[in-house]
Amino acid sequence: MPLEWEPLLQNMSEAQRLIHERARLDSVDVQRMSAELLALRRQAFNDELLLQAEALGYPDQRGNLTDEYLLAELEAQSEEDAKSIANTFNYFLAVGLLALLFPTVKDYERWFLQWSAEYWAQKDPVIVQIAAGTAAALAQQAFYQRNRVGGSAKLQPRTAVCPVCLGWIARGLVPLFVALNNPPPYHPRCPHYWEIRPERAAAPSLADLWMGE
Amino acid sequence: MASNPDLSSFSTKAARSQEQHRRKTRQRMLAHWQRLVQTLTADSAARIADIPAAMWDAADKTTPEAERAA
Repeated sequence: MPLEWEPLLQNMSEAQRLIHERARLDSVDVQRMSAELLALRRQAFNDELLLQAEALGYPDQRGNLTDEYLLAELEAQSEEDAKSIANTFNYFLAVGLLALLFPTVKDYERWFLQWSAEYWAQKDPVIVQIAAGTAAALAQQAFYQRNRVGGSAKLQPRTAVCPVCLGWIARGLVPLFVALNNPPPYHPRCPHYWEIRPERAAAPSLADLWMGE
Repeated sequence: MASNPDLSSFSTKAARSQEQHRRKTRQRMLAHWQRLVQTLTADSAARIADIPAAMWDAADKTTPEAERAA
């Protein structure tokens, strides 16, 4: 259930509402974050193609994602993430402001810079890990489906605390199609990836290898 | 579970090698993302600083809760 920041404005003074209006992330900021997340996901996608090509016996092959369908998928994920990031930021900004009654704008500016630094220090690694993990998972799916290669997979690392991750670790080696249909990340801060063991004998030639185009 | 678990928890050499590669990717991604966040923060702070004095002076500083209590 998404956090709702708008109702919190009703509990604010006019001055607090003014600060929130100036400090919060708006639709333009969402677009900027969405564009950045798309660029980051594309980078993670291409890097994952490189890793999977290497696993298939073709080292040093750079990924080059240009497929429109897959780019649209990454774009949709990035838009959704950006909206959620902005909404959560605006909610906790409102919660923080409600506890304050500073006399001057300068006091609020100083508080905002301090609060914001602490807020993003917590959130940044999680945001990046989700973007990297979801993009890598989509890259794995696309790589093995487009290249028509089967195999098996094992979840790595072999330690976990979440029941879903523990369950996949307990299953050990699973058929590749099962792994690809159940992509990590399974929760925020999830560090897991499928380590894929492809059937190299079924690999296409290097000239026919799909690398994102 | 930490975001970057100990490499010894990866059970194969290939998995460890892939994880090291992905960590470098995530570090690059993090640096880019942090630059954007710093820009957004600076923009917000500048918008706060730009509040005209007359507008700030005219804004009621009393919260609805304090008003009810009074």
